[in-house]
Amino acid sequence: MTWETVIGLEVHVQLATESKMFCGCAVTFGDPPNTHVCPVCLGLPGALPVPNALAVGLGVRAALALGATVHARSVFARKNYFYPDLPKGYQISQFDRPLSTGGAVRFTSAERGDVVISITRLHLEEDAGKSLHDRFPGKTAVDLNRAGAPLAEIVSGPDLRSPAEARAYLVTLKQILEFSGISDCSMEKGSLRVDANLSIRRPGETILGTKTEVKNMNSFANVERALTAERDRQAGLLEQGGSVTQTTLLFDATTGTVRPMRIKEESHDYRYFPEPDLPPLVLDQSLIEHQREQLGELPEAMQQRFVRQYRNITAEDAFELTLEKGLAQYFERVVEAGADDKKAANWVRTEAKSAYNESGTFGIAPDRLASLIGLVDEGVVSLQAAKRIFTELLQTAEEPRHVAERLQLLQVADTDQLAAWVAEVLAAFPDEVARYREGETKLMGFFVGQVMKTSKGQADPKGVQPVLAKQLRS
Amino acid sequence: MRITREEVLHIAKLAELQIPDAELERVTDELCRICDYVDQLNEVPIPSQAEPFAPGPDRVGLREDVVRPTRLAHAPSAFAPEFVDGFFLVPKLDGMEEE
Amino acid sequence: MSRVAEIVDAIRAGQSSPGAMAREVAARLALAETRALNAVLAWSSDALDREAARIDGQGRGALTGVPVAIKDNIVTTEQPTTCGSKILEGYVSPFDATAVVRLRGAGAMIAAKTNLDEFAMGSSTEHSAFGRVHHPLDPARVPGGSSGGSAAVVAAHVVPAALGSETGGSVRQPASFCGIVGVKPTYGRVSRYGLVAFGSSLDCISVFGETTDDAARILSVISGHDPLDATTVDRPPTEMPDGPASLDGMTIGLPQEYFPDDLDPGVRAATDRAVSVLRELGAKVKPVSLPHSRYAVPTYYVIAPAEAASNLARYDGARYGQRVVGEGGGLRDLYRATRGAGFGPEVRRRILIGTYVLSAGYYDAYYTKAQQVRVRIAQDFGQVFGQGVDYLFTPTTPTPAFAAGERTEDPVSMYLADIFTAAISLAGLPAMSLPIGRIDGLPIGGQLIAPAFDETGMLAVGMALEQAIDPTAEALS
Repeated sequence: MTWETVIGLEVHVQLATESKMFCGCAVTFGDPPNTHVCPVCLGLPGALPVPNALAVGLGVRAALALGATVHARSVFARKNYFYPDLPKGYQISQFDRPLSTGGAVRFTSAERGDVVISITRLHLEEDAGKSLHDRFPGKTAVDLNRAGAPLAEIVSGPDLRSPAEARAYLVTLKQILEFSGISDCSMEKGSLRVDANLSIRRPGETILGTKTEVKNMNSFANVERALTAERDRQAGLLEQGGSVTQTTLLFDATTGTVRPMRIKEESHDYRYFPEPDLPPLVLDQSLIEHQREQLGELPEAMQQRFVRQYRNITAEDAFELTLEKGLAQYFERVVEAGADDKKAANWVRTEAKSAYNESGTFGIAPDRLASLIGLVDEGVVSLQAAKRIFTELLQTAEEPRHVAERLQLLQVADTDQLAAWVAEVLAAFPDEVARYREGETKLMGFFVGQVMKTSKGQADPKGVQPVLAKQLRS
Repeated sequence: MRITREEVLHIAKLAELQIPDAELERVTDELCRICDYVDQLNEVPIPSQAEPFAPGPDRVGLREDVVRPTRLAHAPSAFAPEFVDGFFLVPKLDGMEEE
Repeated sequence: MSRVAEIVDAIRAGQSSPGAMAREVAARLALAETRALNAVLAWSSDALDREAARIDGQGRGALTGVPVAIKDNIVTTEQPTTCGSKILEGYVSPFDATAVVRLRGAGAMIAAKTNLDEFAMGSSTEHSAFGRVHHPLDPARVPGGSSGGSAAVVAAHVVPAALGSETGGSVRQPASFCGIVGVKPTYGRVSRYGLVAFGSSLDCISVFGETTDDAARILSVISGHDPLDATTVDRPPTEMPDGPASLDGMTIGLPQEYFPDDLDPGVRAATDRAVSVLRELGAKVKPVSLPHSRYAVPTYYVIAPAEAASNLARYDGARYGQRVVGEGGGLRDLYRATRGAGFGPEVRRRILIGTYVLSAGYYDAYYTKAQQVRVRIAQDFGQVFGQGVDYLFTPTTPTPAFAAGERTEDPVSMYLADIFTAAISLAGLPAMSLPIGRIDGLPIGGQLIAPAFDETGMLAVGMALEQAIDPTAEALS
């Protein structure tokens, strides 16, 4: 039986501010519990919220980046419910007058080609704290450091058609938001969280099936796994003549399955009403225009420009290089400093990116990398040697050529020196020499390798082969 | 508008308020009386598109994004009913899942 | 003579000192008569001495050495803040309300925390978890509410001024019952940061004074924009009036809906006399209409409970306050047992009503409707003030102080005590009550209502009326 899967995603991103949404406490990660709290985010009697201007600006910027319609007048609202990590017994969010509506995310789906996923709305809200249920037996431990952190909630339409598309949507959304400096979108750090709604129906059917909500996915890969599991679960149910009930399920990463939340989810009546402690959020055109300027070049546009501007790189290079803005900017500076674009792309996509992923910075200024690439181009060092030099450059401020000299990696093309090394090798391996002369020409590779070894990598492989050939002939 | 006992119990649940059985009838009666009283608002004809009235500023003033936490005169441990290892502690919700 | 000004001048002239004031207030607070009022929830002579020492070290301020009592729903770090509720018994706030910070900045001395209807919900101060407050002139009667404790200590001359809070009239009404001045500022004039929220779009920290001048001085210190409260307007503190206003050329409106045919004869006589005085002082007095007045109390009793239900959700025994472990031992049991035991019956009623009117299916019928009626009520005032009327004058309360227990059976009968004050709260306007006579020995107040942000003008008119009227004169003689 074939089924059409329908998925919508609600993504919460933590906006990249220093302080919280409604108070001056710092937004941090990993600090001791309840050390960044104040009357406002503790929900103490008498405390009042005051919105963070940058959070509003970043929310506007995110809406613009998604091509949404920014509403010059939006209203904060209270979402009322009781939970240990919700100090006021309500969350300040936005309800029927959100910051923006509309917008879209475009990407290429493996199954359907180019797709456009609609964005229903984006609104601002504050985060809740953290509840830890397993730390003290019989108790829930509450840490309010995160309570009040600024969030933008981005709700997509039910336009995704597979778990893989859901993942691709998230990758693209992260790219867009990270590019514009809105959030670092790290699921590991909790600055991006995903809740998914999934239903299935017969292909061609226009009415949506009963949807379930899936939560507790902590990586994009797990989103795909969780939604695959849920789709299969629903398909299995329906194929056996059963029906899907509207529930919330949690993904278990260790087993790769989804299971319903054990507590009976009473349908929430959030009793939304406009937040009386906050007058309406009115945005001047100048603020919106300022945020439009801050947007800069968006990933899609940059990718297309790369393809036009850097003639030697592939489409895949362009895609990979523009996944993260920092990477793209670094690549461009390396090319600007004189490196060949294809070679720069190779280096940036591999070595530079690994270094960045490990340490969080690129470690090597673009002009030094360009210089290193130049050394390889000129044959001053081999590619292998260059990789060693790269690692060294991460630790030192020296110029690449100096490092090469210090580590004795300068490629030697001097034929006398090459001849000496070759002679040394051929003298050390008389049997192999004999075998070669009898016809085992594939031993050439072995000899080249040995010359490289004897020369400690300094021999220029291109120059070694003719010298070997000459000496082996005689 | 008549409020039924079941509705009262439902609202009490939403509001996390315990109403002892002995008081339920009286509370229901009081709420009915209050609702009857406020029902006279239905006499006032209102166009459906009217904007609500809120006193105070027309637009909310925003705060610069600067870390400037309000100093607490005493730490949470001073007023928390149960505070261990820096955490507020509450009884666990039955069947709670860690998210 | 303004008692506040007397104290400030005496200290400036070296005839008194903060220390002496502290000892005097402590003595008054310790008196049996004061304690019999049950108006004070927390005070200590040590705290007063510390206040005095602190003030000695400061420069001279507008309120140096003046003792001010604070309603116990305004947070202070020195004394506990209970809001008259068991659920906050023993709670000491780790921060001070902005109004308290400003008072101390001006050299005032925080004298005591006063009793109130629980979470400011009530009109008689009979709904406190710590016992009712007694009217200073007749202990069998109520002082009004919810700021009954603050009204009583000013009326009993324990302190010259006190802070209260208003949501539907909780300072003006007790001021009328107790024969003192009560001033409500325009909404947004005084920071609510540190005022424990009840009805957020209605709440105003307000001032009691022995005289208008006393109240005006306090207001000019505590008012003004506060970056910690987004509902404060971008305006400076209110200015002291230069003196009593000249009423020549002024038009005072009498909204006919506030003078119904069945108005208490004593109240009618008192307000009639006050109106003649206004005329004698040169004002033109004319009847006006505020057509939606009759809907003010029902509107208020939808909006205020709705906001209150949400504002009081935070009291759950989890992070502060008293905790009652429920039978089942789980989290929901904690919430329900704590809130069930910690809140009194009036608070529980309002939370239930508030939850009901916001709940799915009823939101449009009640909450949306009430907000729309509120627009009409505000427009009524706007129209009248826009047609050449400078101020409005009305009775503050439909009766003088009633007997304790008289209205506690039927909640709606208690709500009707707000009938002349609630509309002003809904419209966010400034208003004041000042004593205009006695009815069988009980004080009764008259109310002045001003356009938004005209506190100074209103206070000046209040001063003019105050000096021309004898507040102890029997209305019906």
